Amino acid sequence: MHRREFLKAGAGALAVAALAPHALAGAETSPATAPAKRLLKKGIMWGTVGVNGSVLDKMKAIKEAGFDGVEMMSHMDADEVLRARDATGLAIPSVCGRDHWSKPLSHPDPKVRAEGLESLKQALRDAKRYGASSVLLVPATVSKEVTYDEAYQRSQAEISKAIPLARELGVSISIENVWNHFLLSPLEAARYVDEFKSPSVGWHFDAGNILNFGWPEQWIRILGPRIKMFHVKEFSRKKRDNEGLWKGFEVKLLEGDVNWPAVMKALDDIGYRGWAITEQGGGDRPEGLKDLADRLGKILAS
Amino acid sequence: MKRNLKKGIWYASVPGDTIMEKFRAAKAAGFDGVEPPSHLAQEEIPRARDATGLAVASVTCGGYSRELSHPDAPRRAAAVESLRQGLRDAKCYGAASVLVVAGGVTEQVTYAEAYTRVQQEVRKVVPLAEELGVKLAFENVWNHFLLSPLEAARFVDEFKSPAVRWQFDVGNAVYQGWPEQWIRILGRRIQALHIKEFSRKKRDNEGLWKGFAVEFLEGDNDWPSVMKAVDETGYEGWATVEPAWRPPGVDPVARLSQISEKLDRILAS
Repeated sequence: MHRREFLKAGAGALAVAALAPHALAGAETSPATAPAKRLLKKGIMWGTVGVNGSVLDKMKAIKEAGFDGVEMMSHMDADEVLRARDATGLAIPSVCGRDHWSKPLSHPDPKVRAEGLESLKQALRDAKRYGASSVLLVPATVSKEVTYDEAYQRSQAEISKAIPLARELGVSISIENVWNHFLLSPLEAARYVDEFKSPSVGWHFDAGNILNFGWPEQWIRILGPRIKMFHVKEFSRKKRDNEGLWKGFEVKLLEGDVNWPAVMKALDDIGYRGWAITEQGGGDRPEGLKDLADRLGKILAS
Repeated sequence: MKRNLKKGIWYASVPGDTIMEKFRAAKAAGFDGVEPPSHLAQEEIPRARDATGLAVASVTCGGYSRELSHPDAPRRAAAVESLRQGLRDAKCYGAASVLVVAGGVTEQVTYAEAYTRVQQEVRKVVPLAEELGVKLAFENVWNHFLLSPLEAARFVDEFKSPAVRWQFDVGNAVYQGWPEQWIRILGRRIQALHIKEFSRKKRDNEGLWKGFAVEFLEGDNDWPSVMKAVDETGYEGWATVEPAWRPPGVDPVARLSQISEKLDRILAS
């Protein structure tokens, strides 16, 4: 339910409840005095799970920590992944591409771009097998050697080639905002997506990656329904300013500068339902995973 | 090839108690011109200019124009009025352009709001700029806005007026990108250049703003690449130093001469 709709319904329900408290019994939603229950599921990014063991061992630890699902990497042993998924009951909402940093779709060499494209296609196929609705893609990297306009043109050209497969498989190509010096403006990001003229291309929104130069709640409202997936990550402007740029990431969830209530309200406003996936340090031990899941729970309730 | 660039210095960094003293100090240090702010005593600038033989590179309207995206309409109106004053000052001084900050994005002012409001407000002064023959030049600053060079170019073009252009600050662009890329993308839209240094290493190891605390030619600007890009755009005009940092314990007058020498080396690179 859309947050505003819920609040309306909730206020009505409360009025009824004042007369007949039992009227709420069995209702899916809690009274309006409690925070609105969000239809978001708790996920964690595979690469941040550092506990030892097999895929199954890790998935068991993820499940025990309280997560509902896991964002896998592409190019894994799919049979092993599926066995572990089914054994634990976890879901796989999203697949993260393996090669988008090493073989970017913006690379000057067309051969490397072709390899990056093939890797993206494999990620789409992996996603289909896992029942994931979306693939996380870093679309390009701007560097001293690759200019902003080259990155824009090349990445759009390559991604376009993967759209027919994405459409056929019913899996979204979701572009993530990362520190790649590219698509730094939310207006430009929305335009970039829209220029594909395809519902198969959307956005994988990372809250923490925005804080260095913007406000995630603004991005969420501007990107709106383009957002297919949501990464939960923290960032501290204070640490960035006092210790160094990258130190900004060295902070636990809820202890940095992301305004989580504002972020959650923006997600409610755009009607986002789906997954909230942590990409955050600390997941190298079972108790660390539990802490991440608990903090994620608090964020989703904020 | 000798570059047809003139050496400018940002007014606030020039030692001196009076306008005349500042112009004399800039002249003595070897600069061709000064970049003063708007809203100074308008009759004194031409006097200092003519007494020293310096030129006025451009007029800055930075502080005022930051309010172009303010949520309150009266504050935006005041910013617009200040831009008009900046344009008249520039005309009076013989300066070709006014430095404009395109408002800013904050927690309270969204990116989309800033985009709409700044365009709407600045459009009000375009007729005066065209009439006076003075350009409005948006500068890339750390205002969380127009972070993409493609978007910056589009933002300028959407005014559909030759009076709206760009003042490119080299050092401010290093944080998120590569100045030489910005210069090629902005191309003929560049009206004026700000010369500033930045160190990615200091940014990464000491803190974001410490990136500015670095000597010219010792940071991460690839000046030969920057100058090559400037050449390719056919830019001829002012290269104005905006020092973001001064080494501790250096006499301001001596520092001005140092900066002038550094600028010579940058422009020859």
